[in-house]
Parts: sequence; structure tokens; C-alpha cells
Amino acid sequence: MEGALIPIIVFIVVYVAITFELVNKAVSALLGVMVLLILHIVSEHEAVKLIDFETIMLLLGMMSIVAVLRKSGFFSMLSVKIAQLTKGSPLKILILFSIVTALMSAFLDNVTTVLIIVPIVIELTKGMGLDSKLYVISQAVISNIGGTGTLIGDPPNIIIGSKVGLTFNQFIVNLSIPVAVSFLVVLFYIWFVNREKFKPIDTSMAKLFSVQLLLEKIRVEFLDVQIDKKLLIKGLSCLAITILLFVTQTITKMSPGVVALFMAMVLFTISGVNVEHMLEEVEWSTLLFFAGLFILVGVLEHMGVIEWIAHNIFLKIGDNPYVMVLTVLWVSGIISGFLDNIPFTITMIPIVHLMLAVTPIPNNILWWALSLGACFGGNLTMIGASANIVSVGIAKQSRVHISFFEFMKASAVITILTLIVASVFLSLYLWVSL
Amino acid sequence: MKIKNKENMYRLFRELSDVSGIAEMTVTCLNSFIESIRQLKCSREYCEKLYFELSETVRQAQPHIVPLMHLLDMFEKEMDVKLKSEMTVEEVGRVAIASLQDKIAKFKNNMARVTQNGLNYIDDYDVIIVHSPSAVVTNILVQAKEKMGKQFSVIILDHNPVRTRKTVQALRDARIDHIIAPAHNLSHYIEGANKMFVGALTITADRQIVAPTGTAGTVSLCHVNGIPVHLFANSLHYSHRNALDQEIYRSKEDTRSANLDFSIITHSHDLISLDLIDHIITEDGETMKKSA
Repeated sequence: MEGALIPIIVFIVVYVAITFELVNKAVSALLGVMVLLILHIVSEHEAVKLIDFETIMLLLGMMSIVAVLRKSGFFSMLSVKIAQLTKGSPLKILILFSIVTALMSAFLDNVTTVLIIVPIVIELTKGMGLDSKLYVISQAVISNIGGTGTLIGDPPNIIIGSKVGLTFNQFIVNLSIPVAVSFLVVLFYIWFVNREKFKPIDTSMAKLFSVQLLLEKIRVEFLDVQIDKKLLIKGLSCLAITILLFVTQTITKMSPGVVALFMAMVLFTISGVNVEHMLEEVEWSTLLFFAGLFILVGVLEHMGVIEWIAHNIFLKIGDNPYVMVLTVLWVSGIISGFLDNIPFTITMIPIVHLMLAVTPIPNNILWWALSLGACFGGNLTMIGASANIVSVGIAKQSRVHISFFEFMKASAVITILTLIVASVFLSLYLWVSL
Repeated sequence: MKIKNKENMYRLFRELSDVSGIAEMTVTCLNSFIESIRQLKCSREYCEKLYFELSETVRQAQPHIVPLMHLLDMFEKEMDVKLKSEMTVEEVGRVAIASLQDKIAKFKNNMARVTQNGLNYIDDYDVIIVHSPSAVVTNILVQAKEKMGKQFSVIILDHNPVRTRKTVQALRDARIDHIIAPAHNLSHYIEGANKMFVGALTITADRQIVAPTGTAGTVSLCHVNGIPVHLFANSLHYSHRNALDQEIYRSKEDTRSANLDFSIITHSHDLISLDLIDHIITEDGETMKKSA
């Protein structure tokens, strides 16, 4: 712990700046790294070695594939088709869009998902005179739940998968049940609490008529690019092969990062898209943010700070596996609600490693607890997950104002419900495994 | 019907006509009416009342959508004759849907005839200005190129991005030369043009046309520069009422610039005197302006 004071202060300042969005996330993290470099606490070469390039490659690859798919018009077409399928029924809007959001966020990043889904949901619900806030919050929350189900769905999972070496299939096999149950519980809860707002409209001629007009308007406005069928087929084929290679990871021995980036480059080559334009779509600030955080946490780990936290906080809880699993789940859940879950996960990984070194827990259950806690916990508040912030931002642009407390009022119970589902699942899993 | 529902519906009419044009919107409205009948769950006792209530509400739209008003008038008259008390709710629905489908066919037929007549007004080497072109105007341009092989170019005046995009897509698909310029920049292009094509929502009894916002300025500039303005509209666009009775929607929006607050008043459509129009082409060919 000697000489750790400055890295700790830098880390806390960066954490506060990220959480309260005082400065751009990437700038905060890299500024922290620069301070450590200037003060010679870490050298440039050591800093670069601390970056987990597996995670960066996976994110860069998936962002590139999504950029090409977006250009093909696929997402606009999909969301317009879903809007048409709902036929304006409030309950169908909730259910169908939630299913699509959950599936999309499982295979794409959550921010991309809400950027595609939320504008059309607002247009539809606002046009029908429904409570848009309810639908926006629902989609944000569902995107975080859906993203929990796969290795590539949510940043905490990407980090856990890469740093711990868990495969795509392990995530699906171990997390699909709690995610599916949580999804159903949350949908039921939203419907039950707001059931008056989900009454059918098929007894009102005026509403039925207006919905038809609205759907036509949405079709005209949102299908703002002609569908590029060739690009669409190439993009979807590459995405399908990427997922296939994720699933067969144990056979091919190719890591998800290598697969994603390789397939992205193949897609760039065969699609003939303007690569410069596509690369502009990549969220470079997110990648730089990740790189900076890996360095900051790596330095703390190197200085023994993480080990100190593990020994003095998490290892104090004893060696009862049930207590350990539930503590990691709920602490992750609550902290991720108020702090960004990405730096939190990066910080927790060495701590969980140390906990497992003292008390081994079978079937990676402690890692699943961290994943479920960090991802589900992001729903607790508006600032808990990037998808929440982006959804509220899109809503604001459409003059639908959602305050911090309005969001929390709706999402806090949902978070507790999903954490209870996760607790039951993990306890049962542990009971079977021990 | 609740006022809130009516206002919501009229707002949708305006937004849809801004992006799709009046012809497409008329067809969309009739199709929406049909779909609403299919989905409606009500007793035999109420279904007629609900159909007529919706028809009446649509006819009161702000601004009035004259082709739709005429078609719904025909629909109501037809329903009065055809409906019988012993019919079931499904039978009433079937009769109503058949009648509305017939109206769509009639309107589309009129549009096709205007398009056919319009083809005579395009010559090789024409440079045609279009502003918020209706589906009919776009079809004339596309068919003149694809069916008749005419060589001409188009100046698309950008007013509404969605509308412009739709026009650009149609012209690109038909390989028609075109440039796109902001509507307020027309003065820079006017000398190169020799025709202007325009559609209209309504031709009023007091010899005005109701057209998308911004059209009046463009038509005036063309008129001043001696560029003949061609109006393509079928007879269903003719209204028996004056311009002031067209219920053109007027909105007032508060805004702020620097530290000054003020309100901007916007009308949903322009009014243009028929005196500024040189040719009126309907489904029966060119109409004399005096008889319009």
C-alpha cells in the first residue's frame, strides 16, 4: 500500500467525475492516467500493458458490425415493422417492443438498442396520447435486463468474460434462466401496476383511426433510408457468423475479441462501405474510457489497494458461500445503481479473484453474482447505466421530461425484484452445486 | 368524440400531409378508415353511429381536406342507401369497407388520369421547378422519363426534409437529372428554369389555391419571371367554399432569442391566387382558368 495515496485520490476524483458527469467519461479516465504518468507512478509501457485489449477488440468489432447494419436500414425497418405489428394496442406496444429490446440488447450494446427503439416508442405513444414516460423507462430497464443474458450484451459482462476467461456459451447457459424470469417478472409488474393504462383501444373508432395514421407517419419518417438489401444480407450474415463463432469458442479457440474484430474487418471488406464513415460511427470515447479505467484499476491493484479492500471489506464477511454470493450480488446491485457499473466491475474483478482464492465457489457462481448484480443494479437510478441516461436524453428531446426521482420511483422496485430473482436463482444454483 | 382526440387527429393529418402530400394522405386516410372498421369491436346498434361520427370528424379537419370531404360525402350517401336494419354488424362492416375501397379506386383513377394528361406538358430539355411536389407531380416526372424517354431536369426546392428525400429517391430511381436547393434560394436558379409544377390541397370557390407552406413565394417568383406555373389537381380538389372557410390551421409558438421573448404565428398552408397559375390540368385535360 506504500505510495498508494495519490492513485487512490486520482481514482476517487475520476470516479466522482464519471458518476456525476462533471467531465466527459473518457477525458476523466485519461486525465487520471495522465496524472499518474506525469507523477511517474506508472510508466507508459506499464500503463499500456494494463489495458485489456480483448475487451477493447470485442467492443470495437461489435460497434463496427452494428454501424454497417445501421447503414443498411435494418434497424429502422425492424422497429417500424414492430410498431405496425402492435396495431396501436398499448399492451402490445409494451410486450413487443420489450421482447425486441431484450433480444437486441442481448446481442448489441444497450445504448445502440435504446437509440433505435426509444425514439419510435415515444413517437407512437405520444401520438396516441399514452404516458410515454412509462414506456421509455420500461425500455431502458428491459435493455439492461436483456443485455445481462450474454457475454456481449452489457459492458460488465464483456469485462468479466474477458478478464476471467468465461465463454459466450457459459454466459448464456448460466444467465439465461435468471434473465428470462426477471424479464417476465418485470413485464408482469409493469402491467399490473399500470393496468389501467393498458386498456385496449378497439372500442374507439377515433383511436383506431388515429393509430393507423400514426403508423403511416412513422413508416414514412423512420424509414429514412431505402433498405440496402445487399448490405443488409452481408451485415446479417456476418453477425450470424460472429455469433456462431462465439458459440463454438471452445472448438475454434478464438476469443470473442478476435472473432468480433475479424468479422468486422471481413464485413468492411466485402460490403464496400465507406470505411471512414463507418469508423466515425464507432464510439471511440467509450473505448478510450475503458482503456483509461483498466490502467487506473491496474495501478491500484499493483499497489495492493484492491487486496486491502478485499481483505478488509469482502473477506470480513466470512467463508459461507451463500453469504459471499449474496453479498457480491446485492453490493454490486446497489453500488451499480449509483455509480457507473463499468468502473465498478473493473474494480471488483480482482476482489472476487481474491475471495475465490480464499474460499473457492464452484461453477463460477460468484462471477455470475457479480454479473447479475452489476447489470441489474444499473436499473436502480437514472445514472446507473448508460442506456438509462441516453433514454432519458432522447425523451427530453421529444419534450418528455423524466426526472431523477420519477425514474427511480419506477425502476427501484424493478431492480429489487430482479435482484430477488437473481438471489433465489443463485442460492438454488449454489445448493445444487455444493 | 373528445376534443383532445379530434385535435390529435387533425395534427396527424397536417404532419402526414407535410411529409406525404395530400394525394397519398387521402388514400392513407381511407385505408385507415377501412382498417379501423376491421378492428372495431362494437354492437350493431353503435357501429353506424361510430362510422358516421368518424366520417364527420374527418370532414371537419383543419385545414379541410377537400378530396377526402367529397369522397366521404359519397360514402355517407351510399351507406344511407345500402344499410338496412336487419344487417349484422359484420355485414355493415363489409358494406362500408366495399364503399371505401370503391372511393380509393375512384381517387386513384382520377390521379392516374391527371398523370396521363400531365405527360403532355413535359418537353425535352425542360428545366422544371417543383416545390413540395404531390404524388401526381412526382408520377408525371417519373413516367415522362421512363415511359416517354423525355430528357429534362428538375430543380427540387427543399422545404421539408422528408418530402425532399422522397422526391429525390423517386427521381434518382428514374435517373432524372436534378438539383436540390433551399426554397429561399430559388432566385439563384430561376433564370435556368422554364416551367414550374405544383399540386394543391384545394381550389376554392373564390379562385384561390390552398398549397403547402412556402409554395406561394415560389409561385410568385416564377410568375414575376414569366415562368409558366402548371397546377395538377383532379376535380375532387375543387371546393364550393371560399378560402377563408378552409380552416387553415394557425399556430402560435412562443420562442426566445438572446434575452427577447416573442411569439411566431404559423399557418399550416399557403393561399395562392389562381391568377398566378398559367395552366390547370385535371383528369379531363386542361381547364380554362375562368371555369375553375
